[in-house]
Amino acid sequence: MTSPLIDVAGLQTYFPVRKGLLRRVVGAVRAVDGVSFSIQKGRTLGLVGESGCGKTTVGRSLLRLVEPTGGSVRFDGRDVLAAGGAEMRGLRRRMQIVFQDPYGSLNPRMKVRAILEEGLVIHRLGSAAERLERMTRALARTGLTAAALDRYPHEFSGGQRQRIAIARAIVIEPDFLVLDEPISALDVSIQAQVVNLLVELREQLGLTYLFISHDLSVVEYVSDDVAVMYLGRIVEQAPATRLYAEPLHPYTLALFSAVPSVEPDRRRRRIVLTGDVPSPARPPAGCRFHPRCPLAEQVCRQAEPPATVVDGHAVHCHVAAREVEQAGGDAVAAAARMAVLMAANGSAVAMPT
Amino acid sequence: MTDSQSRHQSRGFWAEAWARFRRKPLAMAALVFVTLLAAVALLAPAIAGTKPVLCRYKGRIYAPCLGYFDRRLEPTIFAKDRFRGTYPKNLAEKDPDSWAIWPLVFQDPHRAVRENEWPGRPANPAKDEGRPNRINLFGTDQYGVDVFAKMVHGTTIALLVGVVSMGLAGTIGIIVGAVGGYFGGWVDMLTSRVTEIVMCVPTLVLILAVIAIVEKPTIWKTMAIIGATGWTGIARLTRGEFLRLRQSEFVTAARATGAGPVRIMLRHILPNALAPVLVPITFGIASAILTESSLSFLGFGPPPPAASWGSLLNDARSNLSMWWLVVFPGVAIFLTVLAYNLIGEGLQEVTDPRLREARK
Amino acid sequence: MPLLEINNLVTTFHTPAGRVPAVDGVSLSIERGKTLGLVGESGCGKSVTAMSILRLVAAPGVIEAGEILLRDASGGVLNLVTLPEPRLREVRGGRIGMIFQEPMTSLNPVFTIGDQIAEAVLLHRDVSRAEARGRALEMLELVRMADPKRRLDEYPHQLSGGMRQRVVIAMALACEPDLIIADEPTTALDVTIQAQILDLLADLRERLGTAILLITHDLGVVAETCDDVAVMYAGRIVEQAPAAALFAKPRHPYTIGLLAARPDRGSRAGQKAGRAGENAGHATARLRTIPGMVPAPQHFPAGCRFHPRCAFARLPECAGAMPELREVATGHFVRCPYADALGEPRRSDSALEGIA
Repeated sequence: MTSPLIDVAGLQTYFPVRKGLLRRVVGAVRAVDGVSFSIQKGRTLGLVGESGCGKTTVGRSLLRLVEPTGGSVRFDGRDVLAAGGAEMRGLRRRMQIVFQDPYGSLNPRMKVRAILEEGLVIHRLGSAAERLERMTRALARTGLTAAALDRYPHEFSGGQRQRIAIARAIVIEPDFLVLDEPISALDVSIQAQVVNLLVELREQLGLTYLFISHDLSVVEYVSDDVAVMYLGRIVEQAPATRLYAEPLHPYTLALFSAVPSVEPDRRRRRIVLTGDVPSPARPPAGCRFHPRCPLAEQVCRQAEPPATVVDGHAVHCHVAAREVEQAGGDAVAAAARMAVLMAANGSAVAMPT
Repeated sequence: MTDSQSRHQSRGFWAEAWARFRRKPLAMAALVFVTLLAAVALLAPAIAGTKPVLCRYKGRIYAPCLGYFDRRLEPTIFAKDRFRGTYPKNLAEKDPDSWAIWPLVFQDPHRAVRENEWPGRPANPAKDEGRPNRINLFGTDQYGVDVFAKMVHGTTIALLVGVVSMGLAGTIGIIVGAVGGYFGGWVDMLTSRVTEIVMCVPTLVLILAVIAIVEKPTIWKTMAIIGATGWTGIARLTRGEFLRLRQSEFVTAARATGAGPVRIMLRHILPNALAPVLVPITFGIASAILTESSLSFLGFGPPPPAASWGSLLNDARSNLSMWWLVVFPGVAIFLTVLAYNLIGEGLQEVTDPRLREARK
Repeated sequence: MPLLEINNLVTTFHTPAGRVPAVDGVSLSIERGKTLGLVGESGCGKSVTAMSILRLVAAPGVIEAGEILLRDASGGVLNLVTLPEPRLREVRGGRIGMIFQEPMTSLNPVFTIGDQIAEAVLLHRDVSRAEARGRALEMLELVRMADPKRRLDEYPHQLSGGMRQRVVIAMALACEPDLIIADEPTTALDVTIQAQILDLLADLRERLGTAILLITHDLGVVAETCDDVAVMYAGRIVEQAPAAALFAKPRHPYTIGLLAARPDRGSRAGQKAGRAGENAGHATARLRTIPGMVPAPQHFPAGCRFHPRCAFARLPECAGAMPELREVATGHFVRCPYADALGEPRRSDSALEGIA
């Protein structure tokens, strides 16, 4: 196995909570609290979770758009968190990001030409003619023409703006893209266009993606591997097909069942979790999911569950670990048992159909 | 997909704002008024004066009217030939071949016009006799100096006070606010405290104190003080905009591209923060004009011979029966302040993002 | 007789750029105790339709034509379009409750939860403050708020998004309305919280018999909660049917496209790089898309408004005249002359082969 393009270990990003006149630090919001994963070149890791789970902060921490508090991030063997100014600028040419809101991520006072050219100018790529050629090529790849160069962002629709944002990311020919909810601000009929575009670009340019989204079906469609985050931690991580076919963590199960679907056969049972996500400033002791978990036991309130790994399928759950052990390491059987347990113990409701 | 875009002209934010501003009759009228005032200030010597705009004298062409801007610009030949400031008679007597283009109104802002200075015209009346008439459009003051000429020449001061002091205030305010808002932390703490301290300084009192201390009070020093104390509101607004925009995704995107702080502040944040900051600057011009008028009214105006609108009001204080000394400068100050406020308001309306969004 | 009947509603925005027909001849009806889903993308006019019902359309929007009839149990009919403003205020919050997308902005940050619900009661009922407060507590219990007594004296910012939306629902229900208009009630919420709220709405409808007009862009939400569905596109209803019929057999090309544009469970984009069991470089799967973009109301195309994006459009017929909404099966209305040919069961996907 070759070394991964991006390798994250024990990543922590805390935001200080300040109070009072002197703005003293009185606590920390543990937005990301010990996240590890790695992505091989050309592959896509999907990162799913609800708002506030820290998935967006993970993406920004990798690019040091927010400064991580601890852990390590290695990009192509180089230590990102230790990189100085010039080295970081070099890394930023190779790591790019696309944001959720195409209305907020493009400077309204700059023409598309200036928006695309900025990265080329900063990284001193090419002569003026070469820059124009690169910009035209990037626009063409995203389905726009060079006519777009002399327009302002407000003259484009949401889907086109997101294409411009993608063009800005790829014009400096990066290797790795963080896609932070790239389609959730778009209309349903436009989402599919952008997903297809992202898949095409990955194939044509050999890009590596971290695809952050709360949309489970799109993540499944796009990703090779998927990690589920809850309250700053990854609770389950597996190849996409495995995770969707045999989810082991109670949160993953609840999340999957909560997604409204137009497929009648998918609508039979919904596990409705009680309560809200706790504040990341005061995460619960033990397993962070235990206050909402229908299967929580005494041990869940006390000890943090370690990772249980079956053939590359990692889950952090005491109950799931026991089921895996009882099933003799058979993840499929364990997953089936977990589903039965959740249906029996969860406040599951039969949906009227 | 892009075909439909290539049809219309692509307009930027300011072009759009201007197009919307043009549809606002009041704001446009105010802008026209201020533009006219600027023209009056620039052409004051050609509008009212006793020195020719252009004249031919002893075979050469001169522009003695420039003397109104600065004494040193008045050609020395006229002093040498003992004109003593009375051109019409002297020109004709000392060079029969001479010709001259005269200002629209033959009246001097610094002195009363004497009898027959302009052939066949009586001397300016003084005191209560100087009510407005055909020759002295706005009347004369207690010494017989024409009020219209004084006001025309005072326009320069009124406009300069606003533009110079707010130019200074805007520069300081934007820099202080930008640095504090962008860097945050202790830098912001420092700039915010300095802003608050300056905010506590009463401008008028400070100016009075400085005028009492310095040897040669000039209008420039007054402007400098108004500017140096008037930037706090602009700084606070700029800070707020920078704080907000620093968090915006396009700034994060620029950082992700590798842009440094200077580039982000100048290329990304400032152009977006400028519109909301221009609004208080415009209102600031209005208030600076008022401050200067107040000072002049209290007798701390520019030293003679320069006269501002406010100092005319000061003259009226001791001669209340001369209503024209109150009405004309008062109306001029009122209209100018109103015009700047209308422009500011119009600017606010055409650049406010909420109104822009509602339009879509 | 339906509880609410909208006939040929036209709501237009008079902007400096011209006349914008946001809602252009919409007819809908909701039966007592039923849920109608109004689906569409941004700018299709679904929210303007909802706001028109209570005449809350913001200037420069004007209701130009049509009638909105609200019936009471004894058979009385009010036309909300022509009803005088004071009478309309009795309807707003009284007989029709409203739930907005963003619960934070629809609650007043300076009043407690209890005060706000009590206020809603006091506006429409002749009761004392204490009774209103009692009613507020009752409502919080009804929406299954945890620890309702304590919540009465809390402020909106002290609650989570899901709890705030429960408060908004409690306020909307406080005067026992016949109809609730819910405009994207779960869009701002996470899926597990969305599941709670949808569950609550379904439960309340069953217990109280309140009709719901649910406005959303999420077809999944509609499929799980609604009895009937109306799909809007560019200011018009393009398809209307019982939910089961619509999802089993969508007939308008737009509805078909929308349903096909979502990845199915288990479908994956093909990968080049060697994944076990797949050939490297084989042709990759793509999502079916609706080409082009959602037209802005000032640029609605002539003829069928969907024809520039429609895979089945037959020129010049489709660009010529606006097709009528016609019944193709019992209760199933479609605005497309070729709907009969397109009405294939969705799973077979045979009607979709033309969409690239």
